[in-house]
Amino acid sequence: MRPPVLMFLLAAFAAAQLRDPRFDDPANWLTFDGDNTGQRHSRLAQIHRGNVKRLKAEWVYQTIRVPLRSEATPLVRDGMMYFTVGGTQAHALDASTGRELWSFHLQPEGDTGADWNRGMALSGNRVLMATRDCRLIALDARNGSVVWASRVRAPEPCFGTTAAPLVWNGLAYIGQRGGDTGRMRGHLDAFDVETGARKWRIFTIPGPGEKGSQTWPATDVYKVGGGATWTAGTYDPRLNLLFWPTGNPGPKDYDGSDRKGDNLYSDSVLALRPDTGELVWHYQFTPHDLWDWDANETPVLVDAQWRGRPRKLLLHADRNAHFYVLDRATGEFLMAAPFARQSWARSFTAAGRPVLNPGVVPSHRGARVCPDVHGGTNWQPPSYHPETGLFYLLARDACGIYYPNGPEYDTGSQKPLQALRAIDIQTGKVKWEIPLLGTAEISHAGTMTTAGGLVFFSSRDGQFMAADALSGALLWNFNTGGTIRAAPMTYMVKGRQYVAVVTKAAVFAFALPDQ
Amino acid sequence: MRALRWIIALVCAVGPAADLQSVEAGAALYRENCAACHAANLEGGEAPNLFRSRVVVAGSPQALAGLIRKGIPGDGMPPYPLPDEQVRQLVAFLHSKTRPGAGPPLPGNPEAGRAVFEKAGCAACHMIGGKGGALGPDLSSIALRSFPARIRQSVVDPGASIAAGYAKATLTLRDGRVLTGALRNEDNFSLQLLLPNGEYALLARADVRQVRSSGESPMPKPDLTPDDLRDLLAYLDRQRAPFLSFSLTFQNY
Repeated sequence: MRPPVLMFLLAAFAAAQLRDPRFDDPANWLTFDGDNTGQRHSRLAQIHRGNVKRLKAEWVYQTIRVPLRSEATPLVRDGMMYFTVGGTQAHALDASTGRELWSFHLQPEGDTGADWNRGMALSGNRVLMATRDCRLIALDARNGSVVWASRVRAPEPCFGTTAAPLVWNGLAYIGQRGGDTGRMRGHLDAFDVETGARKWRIFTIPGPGEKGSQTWPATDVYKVGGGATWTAGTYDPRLNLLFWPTGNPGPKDYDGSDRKGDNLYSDSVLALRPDTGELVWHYQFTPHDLWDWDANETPVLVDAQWRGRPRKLLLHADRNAHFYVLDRATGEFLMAAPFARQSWARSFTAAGRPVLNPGVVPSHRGARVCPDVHGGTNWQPPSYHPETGLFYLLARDACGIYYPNGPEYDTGSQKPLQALRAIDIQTGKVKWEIPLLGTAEISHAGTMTTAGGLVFFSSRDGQFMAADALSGALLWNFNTGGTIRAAPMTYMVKGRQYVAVVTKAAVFAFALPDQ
Repeated sequence: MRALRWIIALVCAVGPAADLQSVEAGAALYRENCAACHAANLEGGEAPNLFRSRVVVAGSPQALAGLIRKGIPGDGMPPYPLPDEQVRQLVAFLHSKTRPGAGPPLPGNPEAGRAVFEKAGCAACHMIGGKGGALGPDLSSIALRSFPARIRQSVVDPGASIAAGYAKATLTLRDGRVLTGALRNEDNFSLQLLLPNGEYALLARADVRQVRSSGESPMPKPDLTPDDLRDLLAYLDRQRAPFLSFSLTFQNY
């Protein structure tokens, strides 16, 4: 048994190598996931398991227009906070008082109905957001003035752009929603942060003759093949790879008769060259998906010991209820293990291909399959703690009856159970869980870990909570009184640590009482 | 440069501005048919003030046209079954009077006005399309927020009305520093001061010894020829981008 101090130093060294140096100051939270790794782990430790019970609400900022909602993780840089609501609003606040510095309201062209948004990216004195009318816009961080506005998609068809952009080396990467509409071919776009010009676009569904096209029929179906990219990716600066997850195939979610084959690169994680979009490797979680199990969950990058040697890992908890460990340099499959109730996969081949159980294909009589359409988890961001070696996520046990024209809840089985689960990444086993009692059945609230030995998480009914990251003991809660469909973050201003979370259309910030 | 061209195109193209002929024809129709009851200045008399009519100020053109054609039975507003073209002209006139950015373009040379905007130093404090300083309000879509008369007044007499959160203030801190800028917000516990370089000083009230706010605008009175003023106003009148960037300030809570 190695001494814990050495373990900690090793973990810290590994984290420093993987982390882009521009995220070295833990006082700031600069991307949707905090940094480039997707770990959602903060090195701030002023708030810790010994004093979190005293955490109190410091300020609240309420936006004025509902029913727009926010799924944003706020960004903080040098005491200023930025977040979005509804793909039409951006707000800049004094992060220590919640007082507004500027506010931006877009009059969108047309109405896509995509009235949620997941936040911003920061680059120099620009903040970037995607909009309800499929634009990517850069605002001056000082006053919210529009520097440039570029179209991610033409207005017809535009389904709203809801993801937070990701900025790396002067390019802004933005994914796109709409995979379930039966009308789109997924794509990922890179824009020049300075000019707003599109640098490249890759399609997630190959066209005729392109690599991967043999997994589709030789028809025009690829033009509506889905594979949307509606969440933010992560990157490894040393490997020079951008990791981006994709959604389920189309045009019909539950009826695969006109898309026979594996339907690459739907439900996959793609490893891409950041300057060209060239595909280096891919792994598909759910080949020929018939259950709407998008893989748009975060690709979490971790350097850790694996079976006795250091390895560059990619961790992913999929909507199909399995936790995956891949080698992120090569895409090699290392492990898959269920973390929530599942009945579709019997086993995995050595190469990582799932072997299906019989009777799981949607049929007119109905096929009972676990998880249900909402999945064992969903896009809500998970987190990792380098000192516990645990992976934290909001998981869900539920089964559904799948028909070719759509799913139904399995009303015969128990009510779906939601829980915060901590997965040991070495074994894939759930080490502990905190069930969310009496809460709404489908939550999209994410998690965050801190060096204070804590994991922060929420329930859909508005409880914001902190637990001991090692033992799973519930230590603190606050009822925000509004739906939480976002993940928390933390930052420091003038020596004081804050924890913040967005509810339906408000931001709550918490801190320890002044000494 | 492509992005800049895009923004220029957007600024020029957007805005439901009516053409001058329609608005003038509509004005004549208004005088003839409506002014007797709603008053020549639209502020009402025997009939309601049209600036307070929801269908005029915020409704769709179709809804207003339908109301003109059909009237409001039992309410004193008779039907005006005018030809479609005349109803359209009447709607254009009413919108131009009651909705910022819905009027015909102001006379003058907007391109020359852009040069005046640069030369007179406006851009040192005001942004348009993300270019310029941050000390004054962003003017990217000013014509959608203010009527031409209000914009004119703000140019020729900056002190007449100061945008909320942009008044000049000088703060003396307990550590002896003196900061001058625009006081964006203040309350009993904190102050947020925008400094001339575009950075924010985010301060606790306890750290501030004295706040002096002169109530003056930080903007100097510009020295413009009548031609320059006309062109500058024409340029500002073209700022109809559909991006509304504004601060809410405390009045909105």
